[in-house]
Amino acid sequence: MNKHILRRLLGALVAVLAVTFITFIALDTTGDAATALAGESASREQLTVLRAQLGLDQPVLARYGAFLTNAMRGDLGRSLVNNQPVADLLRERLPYTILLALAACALALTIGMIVGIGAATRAGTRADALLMSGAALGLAVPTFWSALLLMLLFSVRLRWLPVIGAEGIQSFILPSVTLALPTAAAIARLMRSSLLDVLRADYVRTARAKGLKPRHILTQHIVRNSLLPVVTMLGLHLGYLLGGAFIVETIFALPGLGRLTVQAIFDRDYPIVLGATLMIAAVYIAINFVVDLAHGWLDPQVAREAI
Amino acid sequence: MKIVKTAIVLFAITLIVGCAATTAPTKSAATSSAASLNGGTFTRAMTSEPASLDPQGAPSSGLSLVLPYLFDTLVMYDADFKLVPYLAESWQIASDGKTITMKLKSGVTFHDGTPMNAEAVRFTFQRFKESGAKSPIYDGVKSIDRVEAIDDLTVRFSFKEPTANFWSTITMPYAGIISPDSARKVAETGKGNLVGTGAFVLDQWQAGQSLTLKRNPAYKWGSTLSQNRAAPYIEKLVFKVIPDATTQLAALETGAVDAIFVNQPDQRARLQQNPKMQVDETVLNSLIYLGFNCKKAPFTDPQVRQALSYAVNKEEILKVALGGVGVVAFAPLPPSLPGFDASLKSYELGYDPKKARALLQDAGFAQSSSGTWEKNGQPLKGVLLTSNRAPNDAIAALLQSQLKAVGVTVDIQTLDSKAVMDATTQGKFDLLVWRYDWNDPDALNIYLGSDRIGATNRVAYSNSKVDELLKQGARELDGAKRKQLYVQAQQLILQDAPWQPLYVPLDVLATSKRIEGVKIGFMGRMLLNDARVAE
Repeated sequence: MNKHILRRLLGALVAVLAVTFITFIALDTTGDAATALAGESASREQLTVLRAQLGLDQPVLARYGAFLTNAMRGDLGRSLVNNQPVADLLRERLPYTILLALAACALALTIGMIVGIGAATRAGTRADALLMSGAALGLAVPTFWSALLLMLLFSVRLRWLPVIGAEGIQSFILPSVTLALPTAAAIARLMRSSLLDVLRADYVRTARAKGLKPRHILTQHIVRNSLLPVVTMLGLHLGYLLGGAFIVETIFALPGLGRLTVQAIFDRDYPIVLGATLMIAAVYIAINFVVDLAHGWLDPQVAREAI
Repeated sequence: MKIVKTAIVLFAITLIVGCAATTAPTKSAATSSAASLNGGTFTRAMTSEPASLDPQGAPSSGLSLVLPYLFDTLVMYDADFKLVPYLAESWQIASDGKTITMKLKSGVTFHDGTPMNAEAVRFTFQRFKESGAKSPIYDGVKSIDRVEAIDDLTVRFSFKEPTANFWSTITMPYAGIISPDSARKVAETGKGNLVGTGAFVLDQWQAGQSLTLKRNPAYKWGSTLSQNRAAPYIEKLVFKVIPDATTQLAALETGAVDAIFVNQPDQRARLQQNPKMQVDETVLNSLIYLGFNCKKAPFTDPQVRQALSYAVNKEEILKVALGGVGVVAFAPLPPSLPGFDASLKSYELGYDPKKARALLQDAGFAQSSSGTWEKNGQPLKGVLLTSNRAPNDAIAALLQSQLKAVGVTVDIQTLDSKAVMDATTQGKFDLLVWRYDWNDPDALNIYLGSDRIGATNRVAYSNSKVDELLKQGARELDGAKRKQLYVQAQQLILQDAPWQPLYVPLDVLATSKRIEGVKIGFMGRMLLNDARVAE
């Protein structure tokens, strides 16, 4: 087990290094930070002064190296735009994004499982077709569009929910529903097919033959055994949820990490972008760890194999 | 059952994080004692949040939106480009044009209670030279040789040579006068904000969400542009950060904000039909142009640039891509800037596809059977670079079809605006749809002067006669003479055709009629001293 974890950790470290390096190079080659900062009218002399002040006159690799050594000491550096410590900026914004992603995750799981179970137990009926068409739609509709539709209906027409803001739980309803829809749809489809497989399994037939109550069979035998692929997918989708949060935060004007990062990308404020990338990569890897552990929990065979 | 446990844990985490997020500490708002005034809150949408409230910091649309309410400048322009006293009461220009002496208003105090005086003005410009390299007016401030405090309320600016753009530099919101005390505190602690003498005081800043300003009760030095020169009637001025344009519209329609800038023609039409909304339009000191890379063949040949300019139908662009929001441009300077002249219309290379074809033939190109122009076996084609923001994409698509109509094929490349700036300074493009915003005819030197090649002269245009006229213009303090120099320079520029001017954009501001008495000043700035909130 220890060896397994060590191997995973090493892989994670390589992944983080690769992710930050690629981000840094991509950012640096698509625009000079001094030009981005000083705007449209800056003269060459002004840019030279600014580059020297911000250390941008150093070679790319030297700057990346400095970022790495400082990051290992827990110092993520300062924003090029306003000289604030990056760690403070991230700490300020992260709670909103985590709240949004977790709320979306919980919603997606709930909606997805209800729809999936509902469809599987009614397989082949009209209700099944209707639910699965809904799921297909949920997957196909892009987030930025469903966000605007929901806003138009619930905020502008019905005036039930606020258009913008991050005050109180009601401000998070539309953003998290928007973010949850595609994942809920994916879970519903997976849950349905997974359930149908299990329904045909021998042990289910045995349980039925034993005369167990249908409800008991469904909850104790069928649902639990069809959860494995769902949990795997949810782990994969959390990355999507964190990424999707970037768009949702921008549309609903939530002060999360995504918006901070998007603005920093436009400003070529690479310390913020690298800090955020590092943080998201760490969260993503941590989640995958948890998913691995959850696998062991749901299916003891996985835990034994890992040893 | 274990799933239920997981769900409960997840939900608990959600709640804990949620509470942590929503109970972020905020300074409480003190209610004003001046209840006899009207009071009320005016909320505006802000597309991008300022990174800091340092007037000398990195520029952003959010920063220039907020600054005029927090920091006052020495002088300001009225809507007709005339200088109006602000913190400076009067000024005198020496006969050689190399010194300007200003008399400051007395009794003006910063938000921290310290007095605004000649020393504060000197400090502000000294700080600018030391740490203002991110600011768009850094070069302008650098051209001031010395700033001296002669006595408590007299300040003298000295120059190595007469500097005509001094006025446009110090009227920018970035040139707001800063309390030296606040600047020292911010420098020492790394916390807090700089303060000015503005009609509003910073009350509360919720990062990523909103900036709340409250009325400055001590204010009594407003400009003559407002009837009320004392503290504003409005109690609070709130800027809500809303990046998305459609969300801004929804926020305006639901009353979450009272004013937004409108960029999309369909939104403007929708708001104009709304009886609760007031829609104001201001012509900006800006220009959108089609530029040619003058250093890259075949666009090094003026005839080729002229030919392609003749192929451009500006009216169609204005109508189709912009929904009519804007003014067709024919000169490199917009009509609002001194230096523009209606006579330049006769130098315009207006839409004439026949002339375009004839000029290409003169330049040695021949049309092949497939319709494309070729010279020495090289087809005439290029990459049209622009930023991925509306309406640039639509303009680029129209230009592509208009050029196609005369047999020139261009491929459109859209990048984010910072990447476009980077690509153009390195000369990696053939054609460019781009924009400039500048409050002084010196814009021509910044964007077309040959000493700016490799930086802001993105098209690498070079004409020594033009350079000389622009240098003279920068030194000429006599308004009429200065204008003439820029008119001559523009005549030459139009003949060389490094740019085909396309249109001058409009600022469209939609305000709820709940807010009364708003005046629109220079560059579309909202003057709020006379404004009231009607309930």
